[in-house]
Amino acid sequence: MSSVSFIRRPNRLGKLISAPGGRKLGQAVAEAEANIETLRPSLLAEVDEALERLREAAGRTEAAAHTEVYNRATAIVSFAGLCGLTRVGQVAYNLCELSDRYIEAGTWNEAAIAAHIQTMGVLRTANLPDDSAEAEEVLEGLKTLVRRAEEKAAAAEAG
Amino acid sequence: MSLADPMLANLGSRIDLRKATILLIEPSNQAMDVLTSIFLGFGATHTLRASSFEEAQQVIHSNVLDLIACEATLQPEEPDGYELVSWLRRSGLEPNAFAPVLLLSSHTSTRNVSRARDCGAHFMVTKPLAPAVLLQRILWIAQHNRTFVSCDAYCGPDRRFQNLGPPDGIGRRHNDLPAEVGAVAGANMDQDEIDNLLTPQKVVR
Repeated sequence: MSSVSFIRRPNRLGKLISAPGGRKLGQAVAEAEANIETLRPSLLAEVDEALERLREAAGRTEAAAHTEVYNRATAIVSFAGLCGLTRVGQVAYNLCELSDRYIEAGTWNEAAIAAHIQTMGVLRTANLPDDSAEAEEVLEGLKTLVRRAEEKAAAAEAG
Repeated sequence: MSLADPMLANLGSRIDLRKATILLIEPSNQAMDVLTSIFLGFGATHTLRASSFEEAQQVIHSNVLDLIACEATLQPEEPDGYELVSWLRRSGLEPNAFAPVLLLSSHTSTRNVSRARDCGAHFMVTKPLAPAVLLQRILWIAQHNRTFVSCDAYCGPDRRFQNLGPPDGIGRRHNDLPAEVGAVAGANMDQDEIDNLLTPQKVVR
């Protein structure tokens, strides 16, 4: 049987941040959000560059390109939501999930990956408000495309 | 530790990070800018930065840290953020081995969340980073000084958030309490006694 030890250490962080003074919580959050807002142009540029690299990687077939697709999608997730592109971020997150699953399983469905990249392109260029019916329709369209692409791939594998 | 602790009396409404030394580990310049902006907004004045596993190790060796925020995916071909936290927990470096760690990740799949839990991180925070969520996690860590557990399979903060008792009511450890509740040892406290115990009162002379 392995031994377990329980170790208690002083709460250094608690003591430091609860010292008198400092910022009100609401003020701290507001200042952090305002600071992020100043980065918006460079974050948008980062999303656009990641989308471009994503398109390039999706056009290649070697395993390293699949990892590149995953990495670029995670970069878009990191920044899209911070510069008003929440829907683009959601599609990028789905792409992370999908590409991660494919890499784990040793498969790859180009049509499903391409559908995600095209959808992100449409959402980015059309500049649709996140809560618009059109944006909702684009996402619904993506789900249908991915389902069809996966059914087609499954049928091809079975046949 | 609870808010009733007089040391943490100020914590409910304000945060003071001016004297805290915070290590930010992030390989992407842009993401580092975001992280730095957030901590600046929180009032942090002493942030250290590292962009790789090796750099982070160097900073950890040479500074006393109060908080670490680490991206889970570091540079390609090198150990990642999960491995960095595992190394830190078993490093024997006092007091940094016990420093609170927030792991940051864009892709919080079940596998990644399990890795974060098992490597000894305090929390995993999902990207895009929301300042309110990050602040909430920092406050939670500050308010709950979790005991560290060290054994062959795990080294890090206690992962049990709920006390559900031993599995199937049968304890395996010498200090596990039996499932049966014992007989009442005395009268219940009345509400005034409870209030006097929990509510600080001014003494009138």
